[in-house]
Amino acid sequence: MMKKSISLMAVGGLALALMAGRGTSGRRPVHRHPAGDLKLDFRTDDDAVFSRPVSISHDRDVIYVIDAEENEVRVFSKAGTFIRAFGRKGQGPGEFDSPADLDVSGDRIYVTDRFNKRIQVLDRKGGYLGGFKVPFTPDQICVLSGGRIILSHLPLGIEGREPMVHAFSEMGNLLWEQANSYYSGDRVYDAFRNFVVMVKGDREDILIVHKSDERGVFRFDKEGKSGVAIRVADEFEFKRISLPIKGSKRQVSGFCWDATFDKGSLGLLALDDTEENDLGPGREVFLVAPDGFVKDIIDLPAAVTRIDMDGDDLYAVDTENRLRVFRRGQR
Amino acid sequence: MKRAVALALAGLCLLSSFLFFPQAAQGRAADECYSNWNRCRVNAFNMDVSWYRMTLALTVCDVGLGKCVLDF
Repeated sequence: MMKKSISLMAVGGLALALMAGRGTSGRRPVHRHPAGDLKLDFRTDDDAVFSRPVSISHDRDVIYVIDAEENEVRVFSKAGTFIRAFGRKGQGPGEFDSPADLDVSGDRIYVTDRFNKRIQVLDRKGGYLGGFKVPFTPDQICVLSGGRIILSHLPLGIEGREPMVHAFSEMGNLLWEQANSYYSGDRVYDAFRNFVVMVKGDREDILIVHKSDERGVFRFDKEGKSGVAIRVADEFEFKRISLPIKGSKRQVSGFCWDATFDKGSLGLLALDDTEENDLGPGREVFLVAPDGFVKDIIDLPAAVTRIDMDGDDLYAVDTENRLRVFRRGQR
Repeated sequence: MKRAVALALAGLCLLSSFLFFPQAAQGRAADECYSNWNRCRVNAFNMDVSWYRMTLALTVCDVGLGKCVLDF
């Protein structure tokens, strides 16, 4: 494990050094695109607001939103029509205890069932097909070809460093583990340092974006090998904040609130300063090319907390927990 | 002599059972504390509040954990 993490750090460090050397010396033009609200009315039979929406994803026809508090997956057409909801609180098949994320592969939906510590495989109507237990609290999920199920989890930070990314087979066999967590012994600070977004890339790989203190985006292929990291250019700025950690103030460099990936671009949801000198979710999405340069900025009409990019459309949850669709170039 | 050995063995058995059972109960309680703490942290992150507030929420989770562990 030690050797693995050292080699990972060496490859990552080398990649970052190379990218830093050639990448950010000159600035490229960055284009701003206002995005308009399509004003679609995403309501179920009786409700337009989610209790605690924690994940949005889409496939060719539909948008999925996970409501962790209602223990439910809600499915809408891309035109805003409510199609169905499935799931309820419990420990049985098709039941959840705080679902966190989902990914769709073929006709199967894979859901991380957080506090039941398991992955559930469902059909498109929510019918139970199978699943397996995991020895940690699963958070985000990406399903790659060949049935590789990649999971992330928020480390507990009690007994030192621990891997944050785990790959399982369809049968639930552990294949590999990567991305050792940061550990300082200060659980609050470490929680910020280890808070990551995992997104699926376009080369059968996954990208790990840290929400603070790290400009490098790490990449793992489906075999768990670390590839070239993206060093996000300085146009996407850190937002610094002093947080009251262990009674004293400690500087944290905020990086992003959420991330998404579509058609070769990494989308980073910027943080925004609030009136109380705090950091909250922003209303700008920076599109980053594979070489780390920011190529476009999408200006949203409202601050959002979750994003999912689909071509020119951006599905998002706003700060009032409503699902909205913004379109680039639309006013 | 035999009586002394038997008494010593009986005493050891009794002592080890007293030592064992409280530890097992304590282990279960501590597990529950950590499980609640983990739930508290995840909820703090899911609330999507600003970072200062999230720091406070995470600190509350930690204080709750400390209190829970000390109570057992």
